[in-house]
Amino acid sequence: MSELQQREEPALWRAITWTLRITVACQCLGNWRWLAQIEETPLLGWLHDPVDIGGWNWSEASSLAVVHTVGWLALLAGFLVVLRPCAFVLLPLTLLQAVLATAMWQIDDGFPLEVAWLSPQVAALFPYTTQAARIVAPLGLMLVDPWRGQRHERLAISMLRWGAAIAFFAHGIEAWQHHPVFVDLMIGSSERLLGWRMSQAVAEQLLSILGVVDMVVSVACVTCRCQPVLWWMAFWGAVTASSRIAANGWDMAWHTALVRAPHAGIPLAVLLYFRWIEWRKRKNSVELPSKSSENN
Amino acid sequence: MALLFVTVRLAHCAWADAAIEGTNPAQWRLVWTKDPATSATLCWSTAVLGEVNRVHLRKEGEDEATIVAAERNGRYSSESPELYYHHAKLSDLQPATQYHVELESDGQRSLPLYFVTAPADDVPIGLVFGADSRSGLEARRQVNAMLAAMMAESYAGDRVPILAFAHGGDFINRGRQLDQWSQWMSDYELTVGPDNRLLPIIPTRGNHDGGKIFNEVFAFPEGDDNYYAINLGPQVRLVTLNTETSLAGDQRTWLAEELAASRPEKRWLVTQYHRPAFPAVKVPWHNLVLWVPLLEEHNVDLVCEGDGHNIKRTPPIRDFRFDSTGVVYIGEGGLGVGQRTPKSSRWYLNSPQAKTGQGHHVQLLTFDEQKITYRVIKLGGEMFDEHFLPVRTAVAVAP
Repeated sequence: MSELQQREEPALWRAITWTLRITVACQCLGNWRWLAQIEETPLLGWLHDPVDIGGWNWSEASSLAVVHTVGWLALLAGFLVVLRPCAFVLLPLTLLQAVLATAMWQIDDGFPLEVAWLSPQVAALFPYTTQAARIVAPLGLMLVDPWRGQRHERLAISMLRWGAAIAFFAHGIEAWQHHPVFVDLMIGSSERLLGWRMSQAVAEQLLSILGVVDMVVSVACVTCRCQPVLWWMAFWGAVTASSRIAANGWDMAWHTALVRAPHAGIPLAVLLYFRWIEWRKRKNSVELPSKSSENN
Repeated sequence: MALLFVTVRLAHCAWADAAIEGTNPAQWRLVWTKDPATSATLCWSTAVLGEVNRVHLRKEGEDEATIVAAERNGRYSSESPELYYHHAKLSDLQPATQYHVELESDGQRSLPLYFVTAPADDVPIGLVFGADSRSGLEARRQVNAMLAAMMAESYAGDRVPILAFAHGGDFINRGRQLDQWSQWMSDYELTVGPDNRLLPIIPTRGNHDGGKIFNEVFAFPEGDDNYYAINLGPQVRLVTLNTETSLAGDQRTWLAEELAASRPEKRWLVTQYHRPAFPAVKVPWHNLVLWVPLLEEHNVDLVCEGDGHNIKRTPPIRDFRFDSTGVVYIGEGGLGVGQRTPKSSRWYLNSPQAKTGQGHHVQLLTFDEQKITYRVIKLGGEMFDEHFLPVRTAVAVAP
């Protein structure tokens, strides 16, 4: 891309990159709260658990020191992402999210998937799917908005689409299987926001429907460029992340909402990207006739 | 600190694991999830399903044994190892009565074992609480041997007899892996006393106990949500809750009804569950918001929690403040797992009325007319903590 083109970068492209920058910055802030302040994370469990159950058997003090350090580095990375994202910051953030998913796998954290035809060892890998959007968000930003590097926008958008789709599909399965935390989020949110105590049976029926919707939109996300699907994913990602605050209160849950920012941010960024492509096509179609008339 | 139980018979470990071969009955467990004065469930495992799986049941003082067929037999929900469960429900038992049992699968019999049902009279009773046996297998076996010794000694002299063991969850590390359950079930045989007495278990599901196998190990119906309440005597009600299913839905409705019905009837109302509402290390689980108001409203006497891997006793708490009429939270788990450092600066632990610590341990609770006596017994027999909870209100005892 020439310098001239960079200067002429339209507002839509800036919106894409800023959506991803804010998304990743929110993730970083949530991770800081989780790792540096709350401490009790899968990473701590993994480092401290004994070797016989998949841990590293580090001392509690060493494990806590590592977790605190990583948490503060995540906060610093969040600031840098807002100021000027670069591979030096975004690659470690991708790695952090992958390590958190690995820790969940190793210490058997997260939703216990019930699929009869899957062996327990394979089902235990489920955290990689639920965490997919969180893993690809910093990686996608790095490829979309490299600093002094080459832009790989198509690869980035493909990864972001797949990351969001996998995360939505995994959460759809959790909803379909009536994840107890989701049931309680629905009951708690309806009680707090509407003053109405939803029964467990109603919450489970709604979750079955929402689970199917999540799975359908996740398939649509990677098979077509349907903008209403992406609008829905962005909206629903924001609603489900915020429902944790609605159900459990701000103090206990704000970080749990922030770490889920990619569930809303990625579909929004992909949506803006499709609009940007349309804008570019329109621009090219306007420019081409004018150029040909100049040649004539 | 006094050494309360000094005779930890580790030599007892050597013979306790019954071989899992053919139809040899192994991994014996007596489970209490319904009225333990009149019923119990005997569970065992075999390597081959067998055709005739039954219990020879003989009441103390009688010559004739009755046969109770195992009503549920099947393969544990796992490809490997190949292992089969057998559940025999014993009903119409007499309270405070000794029953001799032999488990039989296709002609092969277990050791002659025995157990005693819960009393119907208002007499002092003991209950051991502990949680988190998912790692540290050698320590787990030692704690189990200590439990056997504690139970045996509680029946000697003028001590209060230990009726059962309430396990607060996280039996194993990965609930879908039968090899880990099999190891735990074999290790649990070490709780059988030197005179072949079975220690009844009252199980709680922990966050590492997910999957179908839990219900097969403890004879719950398939798909059961694992919350229930039992009487350990006419004046002691133990409510077991499940932090791994919906807390806000049917379980909360059931809990409200259960506590409202039990509180006026029972002198002692105790609950156990896995994830702590007032943790010493971790963050509070959602039960802090969803259950604690009910526990306070109905003046529960003692709440037993697991998951934190340390030793904890809070002062009485009500409405997020110290209050002598409040609820005391104990436990946090040390049946084998590595121990964490309690965060004693937390407001509910930073008090002379609180006590925290580390080390493999169990909590011994004894209930009498005036008080609950709470003791923490560390592996090796050291008594780490002792505390007394006076009776809240005079409860009208039926004549």
